[in-house]
Amino acid sequence: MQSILVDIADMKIAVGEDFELTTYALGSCIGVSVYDPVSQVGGMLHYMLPEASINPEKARANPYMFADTGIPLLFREVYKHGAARNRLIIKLAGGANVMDQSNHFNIGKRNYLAARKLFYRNNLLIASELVGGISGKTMRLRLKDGRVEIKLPAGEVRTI
Amino acid sequence: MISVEELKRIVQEIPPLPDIALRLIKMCQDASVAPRDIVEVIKHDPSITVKVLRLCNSTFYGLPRRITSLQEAMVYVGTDALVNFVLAGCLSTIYQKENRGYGLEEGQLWRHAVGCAICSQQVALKVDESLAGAAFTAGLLHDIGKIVMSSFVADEFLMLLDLVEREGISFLEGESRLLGYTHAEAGAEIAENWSLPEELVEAIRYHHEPQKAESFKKTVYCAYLGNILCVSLGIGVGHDGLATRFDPAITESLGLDPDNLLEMAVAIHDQFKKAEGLLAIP
Repeated sequence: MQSILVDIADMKIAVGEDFELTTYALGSCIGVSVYDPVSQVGGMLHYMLPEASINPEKARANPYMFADTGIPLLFREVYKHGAARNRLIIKLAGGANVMDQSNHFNIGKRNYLAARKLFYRNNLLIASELVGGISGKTMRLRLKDGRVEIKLPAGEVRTI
Repeated sequence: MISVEELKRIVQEIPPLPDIALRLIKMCQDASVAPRDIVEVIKHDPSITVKVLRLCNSTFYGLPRRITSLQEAMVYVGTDALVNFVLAGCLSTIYQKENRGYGLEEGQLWRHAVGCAICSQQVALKVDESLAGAAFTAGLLHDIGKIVMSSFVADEFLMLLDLVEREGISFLEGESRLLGYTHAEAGAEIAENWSLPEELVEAIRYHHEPQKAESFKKTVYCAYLGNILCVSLGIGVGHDGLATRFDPAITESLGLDPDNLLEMAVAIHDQFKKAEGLLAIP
């Protein structure tokens, strides 16, 4: 099995059962995993911030940093590699928040809502997710069978 | 369970900070000290000189040409950065060990220290540029208490995690309730034993509870927000995760709004990408 690392503010595509895509250190960032079981095309995006309007210049240099520029590119790339829209299985992880009763610095929540909004507008359904809370997470997509595992602190692993 | 007295005894056993780091930190606080005096102190330590030059030539600064002497380094990167490089060189080995209790693999606590240093510095650059050097140093040192607490937190870890989840409290509050002592208190005592300036001791002690700071508030707030940004961006995050409290009054008192913090995240990502030189210090 060949493991491909998806960095922070990064996106990677792989094709075929020999690959898995992994992203570490999801705090308030969101990991988006998409997978087509027929063509075995998989993609993963690790974005940091909800909207490119925060820094448009940066969004041009690295669109994967933001939800509204990174997610459309992720889909475009998997389609280019042979994935079909009606077969895509979408899964999300991350979006943790520090403890904030005032709801002022809810970057994880804003990141999550940015993804939800985009999927809703494009009539795409999220198959499953592990979002929110106060834990850092690692996300792994296995292209052989589309299994997505989330590693939590203390070694706990959940399949979503 | 280990007693507070026992924990405090272990704090006393932490080896002293190398003399060169301490001398430089103190010299930086003295406005009458000239840059050449700082070069004079560093140049007598060949291993530190080599590390400093290597860091200056790393991608962190992206300097136009190769730096070959401390005098040149001083001109290009400035006094604060030079001193921070020396401090980083002295601290990296202390931080590098596995940090079992906080669920951090070898090197991850150092990664978090460097990340928080960069985050705290970015906050300072937005708020008050004159604090940038102190904020960076405070970020490097803020979790130094974890090296003492790690094995004891590991022993009580499941109880601690359960308490944090069940009661909805922060990890620091969990440490306080369960062990009667926190990594912030341990860190402040280590810093006092090292005779570090009060500004840094305050920042370490209150990096989770900035409201309690009575002096050097702006530096404390920079370290506090730096840590919030650092864990939010997932840099060197352990079992304690994001279980720390955000207080909007602190950002307001610095004249910042939450969107400013998001803007900073972009700069932090770029700076951290360039920080491999700091992360790879042997």
